[in-house]
Amino acid sequence: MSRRALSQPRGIGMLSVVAIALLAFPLIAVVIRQPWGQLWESVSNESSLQALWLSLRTSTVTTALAFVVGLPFAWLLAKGSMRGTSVLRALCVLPMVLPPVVGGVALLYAFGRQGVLGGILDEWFGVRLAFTETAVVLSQFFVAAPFFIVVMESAFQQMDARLIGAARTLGAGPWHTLVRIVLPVVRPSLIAGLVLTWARALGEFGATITFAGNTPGRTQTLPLAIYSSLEGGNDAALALSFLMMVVSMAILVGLRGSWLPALRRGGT
Amino acid sequence: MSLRLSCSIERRDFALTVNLTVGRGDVRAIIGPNGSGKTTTLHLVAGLLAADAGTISFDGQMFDDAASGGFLQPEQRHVGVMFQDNALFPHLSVADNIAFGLRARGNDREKVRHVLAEMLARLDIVHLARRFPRELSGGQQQRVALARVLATQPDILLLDEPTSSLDTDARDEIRELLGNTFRDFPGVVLLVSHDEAETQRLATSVTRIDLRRDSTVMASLNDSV
Repeated sequence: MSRRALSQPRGIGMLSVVAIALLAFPLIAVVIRQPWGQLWESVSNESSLQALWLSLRTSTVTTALAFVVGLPFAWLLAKGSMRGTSVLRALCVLPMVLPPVVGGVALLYAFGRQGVLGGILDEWFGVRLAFTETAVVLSQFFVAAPFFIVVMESAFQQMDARLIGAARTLGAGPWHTLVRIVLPVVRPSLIAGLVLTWARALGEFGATITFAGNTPGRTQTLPLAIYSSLEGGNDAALALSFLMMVVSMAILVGLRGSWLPALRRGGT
Repeated sequence: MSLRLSCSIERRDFALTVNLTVGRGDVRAIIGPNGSGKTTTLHLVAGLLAADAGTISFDGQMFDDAASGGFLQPEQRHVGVMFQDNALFPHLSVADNIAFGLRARGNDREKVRHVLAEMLARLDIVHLARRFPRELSGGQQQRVALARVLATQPDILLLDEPTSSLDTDARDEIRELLGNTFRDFPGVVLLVSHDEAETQRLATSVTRIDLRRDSTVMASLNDSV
């Protein structure tokens, strides 16, 4: 059987089927087993809504924080000539490949009551971070912000440096140049980086449960609520999982077009 | 009244020494092979690079003084740079590209509008004002780049291979435009090129970069005078 097209290596179709089965089938299973009659009830009860609202709120705050402090850091990594840049980069990007639960332990020993800094905060200012909503944000930031920093560093590096030179010699100061030239030019990467960070923060589980705990109405985010209801053996887990799938799908659809290709190229 | 460079810059496998004095009204061509430090020289004058030793000054104003650590930022030097391949801002229209420097320097709306109209007319690009750089031909982009630079009335004009990316017709056209511009320009012009015909036509004097290659590339730029 010969088709009028360039032939592909033999067997890749079969291997692809395995990949599709492992990736797509579990998602389809959630849809198949969904008790549709109870979906609205499971999603709209008070504890689910609390978890959803907390998740949306914290992941948005985390993303904003990543933008405010991560963007300057990414700029420094891309353009700075200071010594030890590569060590700093390695350290700050490590959370990306670290098991999130290890991140939670690290945060606990840094900002927890017995932690290196947490002890001082508690003693001097009476501030306790662990097991609060702030801890949720810190956990999400620890795990998600490196994605943003990596995306932005790459975008800044790949940007045509002459555009910055042109702006500066035309009379623009460094901030004016950053806001009016650099950010608009890297906009596709910026949006992709922010959305990725937000999505990663929304799904954060390991660091959050370790450092912020799993208190309904306080630190129980949507992923934690799913875990809890699965342990409790009720169908809410399925419904909430479906809810997160819908949100994630919406992100992917929103990202297609100009933003995702920018990310694939890893830059502007 | 002149631009004076007496400085050097070193990189891992490259060292450039520049001794150059260019007076107002002079159009100095800098010629030399690729990788000999022509663009680096322009960047030193513009303040996009700092010298490792020596000084750069213009009309008595210190631009760069390695010994004292003095360094004037690019936006304070009143230098206009035409980069190789233009470096037009891709997200801004032709009009906004040209007005960028005027706005960055804090000119009021009326002044910006006035200078913009003058530049568009002078470079014959009024009909392109609302277009974006990607919609322009190479020659048109070069006109916009020149308008953008001239709008801020720089004291020093730096041009990096201004016609190298153009086809023959556009090249002749831009050369003529540059010739006219230089004739009226009251400041200092540094023109980097590796095209002898271009430098002969446009420059009032020529400085050639000497290159010696040992383990490192040693380049030096010296006034013949």
